[in-house]
Amino acid sequence: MSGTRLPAPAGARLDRTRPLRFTFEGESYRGFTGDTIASALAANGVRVLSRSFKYRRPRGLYSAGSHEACALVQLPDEPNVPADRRLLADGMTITGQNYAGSLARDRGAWIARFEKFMPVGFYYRTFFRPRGIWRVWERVIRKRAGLGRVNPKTPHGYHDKAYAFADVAVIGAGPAGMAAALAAAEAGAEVTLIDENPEIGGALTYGRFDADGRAADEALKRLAKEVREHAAITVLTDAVCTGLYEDNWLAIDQGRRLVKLRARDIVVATGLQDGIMVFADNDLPGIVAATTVQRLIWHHGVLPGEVAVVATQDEWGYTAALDLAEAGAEVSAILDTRDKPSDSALAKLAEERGIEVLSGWMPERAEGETEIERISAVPVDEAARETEEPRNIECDLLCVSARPTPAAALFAQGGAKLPFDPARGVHLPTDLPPGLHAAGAVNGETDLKRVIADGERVGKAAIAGETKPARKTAKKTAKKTATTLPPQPMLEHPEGKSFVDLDEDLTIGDIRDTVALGYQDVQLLKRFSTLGMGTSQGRHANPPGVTVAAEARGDEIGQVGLTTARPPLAPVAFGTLAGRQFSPVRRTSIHRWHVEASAQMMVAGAWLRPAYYGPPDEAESRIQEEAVAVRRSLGLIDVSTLGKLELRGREAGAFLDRLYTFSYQKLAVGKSRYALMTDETGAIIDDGVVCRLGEEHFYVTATTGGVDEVYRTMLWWNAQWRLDVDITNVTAGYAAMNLAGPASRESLAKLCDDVDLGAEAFPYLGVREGHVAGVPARILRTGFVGELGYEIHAPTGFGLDLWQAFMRAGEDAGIRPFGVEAQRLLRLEKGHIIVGQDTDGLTHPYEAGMDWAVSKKKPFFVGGRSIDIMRARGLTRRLVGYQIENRDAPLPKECHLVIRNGEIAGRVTSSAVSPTLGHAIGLAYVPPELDAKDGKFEIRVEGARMVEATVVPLPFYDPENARQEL
Amino acid sequence: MAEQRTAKRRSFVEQRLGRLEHPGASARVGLADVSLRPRLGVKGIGTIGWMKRHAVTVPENDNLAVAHGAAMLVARLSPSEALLLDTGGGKVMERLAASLPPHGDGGAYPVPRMDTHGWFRLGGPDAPHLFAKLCAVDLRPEKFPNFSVAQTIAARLPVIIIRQNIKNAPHFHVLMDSASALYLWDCIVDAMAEFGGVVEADTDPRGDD
Repeated sequence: MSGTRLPAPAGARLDRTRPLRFTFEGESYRGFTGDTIASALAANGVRVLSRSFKYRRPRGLYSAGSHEACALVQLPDEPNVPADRRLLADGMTITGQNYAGSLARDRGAWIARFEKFMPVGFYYRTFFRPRGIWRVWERVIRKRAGLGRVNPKTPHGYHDKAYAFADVAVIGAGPAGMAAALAAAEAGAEVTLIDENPEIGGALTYGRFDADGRAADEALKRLAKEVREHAAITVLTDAVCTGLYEDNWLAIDQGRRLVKLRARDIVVATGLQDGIMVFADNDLPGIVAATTVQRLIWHHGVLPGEVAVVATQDEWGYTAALDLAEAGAEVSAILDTRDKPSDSALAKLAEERGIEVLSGWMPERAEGETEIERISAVPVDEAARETEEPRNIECDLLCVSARPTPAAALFAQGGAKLPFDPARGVHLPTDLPPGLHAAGAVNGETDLKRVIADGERVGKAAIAGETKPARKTAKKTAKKTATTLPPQPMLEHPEGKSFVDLDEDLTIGDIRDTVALGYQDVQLLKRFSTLGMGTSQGRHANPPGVTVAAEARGDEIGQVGLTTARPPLAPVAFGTLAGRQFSPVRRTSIHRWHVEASAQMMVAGAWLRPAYYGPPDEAESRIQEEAVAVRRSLGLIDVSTLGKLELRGREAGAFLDRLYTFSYQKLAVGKSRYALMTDETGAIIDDGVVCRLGEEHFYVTATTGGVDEVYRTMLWWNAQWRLDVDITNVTAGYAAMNLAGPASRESLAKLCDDVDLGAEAFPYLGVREGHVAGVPARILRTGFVGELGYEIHAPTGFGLDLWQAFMRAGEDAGIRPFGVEAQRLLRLEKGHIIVGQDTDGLTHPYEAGMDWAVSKKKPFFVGGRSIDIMRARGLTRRLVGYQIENRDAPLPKECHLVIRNGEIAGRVTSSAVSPTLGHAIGLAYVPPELDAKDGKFEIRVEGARMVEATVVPLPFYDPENARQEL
Repeated sequence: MAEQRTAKRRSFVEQRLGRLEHPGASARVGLADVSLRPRLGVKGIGTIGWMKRHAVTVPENDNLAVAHGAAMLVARLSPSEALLLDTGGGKVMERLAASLPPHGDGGAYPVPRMDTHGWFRLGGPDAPHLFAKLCAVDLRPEKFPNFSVAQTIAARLPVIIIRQNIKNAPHFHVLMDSASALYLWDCIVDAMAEFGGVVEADTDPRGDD
């Protein structure tokens, strides 16, 4: 068929002054601004949009409101695009999905011929024998799995997230939702009204609630105007609420933005969702839900067929038949599955229009090559089928109004129950938790006036904080009606497939077989058959699926139950979940200088630090040159990332004594001491330096990656001990740089004249406060790299200028900036450990050879008792220095294994070629008995080669410490 | 002879980014780096006492701020911590800083907030909408009254946000880890593009409320 565009007032969403061009499967088409992909294709007579998941059957638009798999299409950079929701854009290139060759002639459609070999759950029972066969099948199955194709070259899209807040959030801007929002807003609440459509109004924008259609128009006009004009109502359109989480936290997908809304109360007014009518080949393109036909007409001005048959289980089908007839289609018949003829005004009007109504009839089978061409209709009643001849009716559109079900998944997510209501033949929400409310059709109401009244009632209840279960209304009504709706009729035909789940290609027979195999529980049935596990998450499939299961089990529908509905309610793009990601980055005040000096930056915790200066292909030589410069003359490294803590108060010294392994109460003002921290198990967790700046004032450094934990640990212990000490983390407040090398004193003197830098006046481990380049600074004489050196800590705001001043002052000495890699090399030569690299989560000080850093006189420090116990038990490993005499041997890497007698005996923690010593050195854990000079062990390096190492005493370089104590 | 006073204090964004352009003012949302304005932290059990001794106005409760004269904003972060921000220029901050030695005064200790924290100022009617993209606290004017203080997370970064009306329009002072100032700057600049936000110069933002 060819699609027909209808004149206004049909096509309310269209801007017909702005035509758009696009291609589908290589063919050029035209649409209008406001079209969806599906509506534009329907207007051009294109019915087949994709191929089905299992049998590769041609599929087209069925429901425009339930996110099902039939209408998923492929864009160049985006798979699985819902054609019924995505707006058409000029120049769009669209293709179908899940086919080989072309959509019209799918080379993979042969698989349908082998359906007998693919019964439900066949993959669980087929591919595990003979042993190893899965590897063969896995490739085949993975190739066929999924629908769209991911383009790995897809450019990054911009997605972000936003928080939102409301007193009352109303989900669904149909008549009940709008009424609820207005009632709550009138009562003083701040309301957010959320709807997945581009406009508010819901079913009022396309539905016909009475014979002349005036009731919907009037209600829409009034409610929408009041909502728009109410200052307390915020409207979010094109917004799909995909999840309801704890404490009334809603995830709302607005395409490129994920809105995270927290509301005091939530009103769910999501209305009804289309059902599916089950008969043979009920998936042919051209079989379309009644609401979809009406959306196409009223939203997009598209008449989706010329000769239509309407099959209905309720009054809604009559409204669609009237809309079709008034839009110019020939409606051949209305097949009403109910055995009693409808006496509604709608039915009468249909008959007045000359539409034949067949009560108690339904389609038995749809026929057509790739889209519907005719149906064969039969009486629903089995006995009547014996006497009545099937009627074949030619048509190019079968408009289906199956029993709709409340869109109630959010209630399940929110903790409510969804028992089956036999009076209405659907599952309705009960036992709503406080703050969650149901309004309108999800409550079982279908009459427009009652829907609006229910919305008003619930809106007022929400603001009043009432938590009456909405089900009460339903229960009352159920008692009044005191009837039980018969299950939806379903028909099978030997020459066709009667699908209950279009997403997963599941038929009536598949569900019966699943139950027969023993998977009777609804949760098992779902997992074995995959019922409801497709794109629409069971919106269409669950009611007929559960009905078939109940029949197969010999139970009532209510006893079968429903599967658990979990977020997300609708498919969410990975980009929406992922972006925009926040990953805080810390930069030192000297960062820009480093980058301009060609530093290769490395990540250290959240910090960026220079690894070395120069191009990556010269990394090795640059690192060695930087190290040599420090040994021979002068180097400068940015150590601003070091943790820095101020401890002040009368008991600050006592606090440090309890927390670190050394003693500090007697440390003189102007002195510093190494600080080693262990946890309660005695394991080393951090190290640094404690500087005493005053009687009650200590300045403590910690490792770059460890300071936050050290700070938390300090606060925690101080909360236990309640000592008179104030602890402040000032890490970012001080830029720090280490001026190291034989020329450092001379160079520093050029910038500092209020501190006596002489060797006696300012000895190793001394701390002074003065000015450097006019900036107030704390100067520490440290020796991490084993040379005469000064660590200068100055306010961060001056960091960049201070660094530049040092670089100028050191020009004569050939100053060279050095990075973390050279520093690691230099400290290794000096035998200093790096916590976290040379220690692990179990290393205690004696294993690391740090006996010297543990006070034997203190009555207590954190971890002290554990260390004593482990020491008494005897060491099981020891960190030792080693060297490799064979200069041709490959260089071990960190974590290469120490092998002894063919067994793993330890591991390497640090390894480098020392430019100073001229051979490879390293640190490794070895058995304690190997901790002897000239002890030999082997290291297994890459390629399983063995390298012999010799234990040597630490430090490797300057064992008398003469250079750092100059 | 030592090289004297060659070093210059630079803002944390400028230090890391280079020259900062100030394209002008926006009617919807404006962002200014005011990190060079003086500020001081005071911490310790003697904090409130020290403030009273030095005639600094003390906010009634934690997470509240108060204007101290026309030139200073005082935010109380906890029973034992306060943040003093120079919002209008003048010498009062300098005087106060000089009166609090590094080793403390009666249980009150200085915290170098001038260097530990960067300081941005955001204004304009869309500023709360901008924050909604970064921060889970509801900062809309009706929910976050003047002089409210939020110690929270924005763009996964700990921040202190203080509302102060300037010329009767809500403005927000945002203080963050100075090492992450450029990171947050980039996040805000990105977030405010949607609202046509611009970077503004640090002009005298004297509060009038």
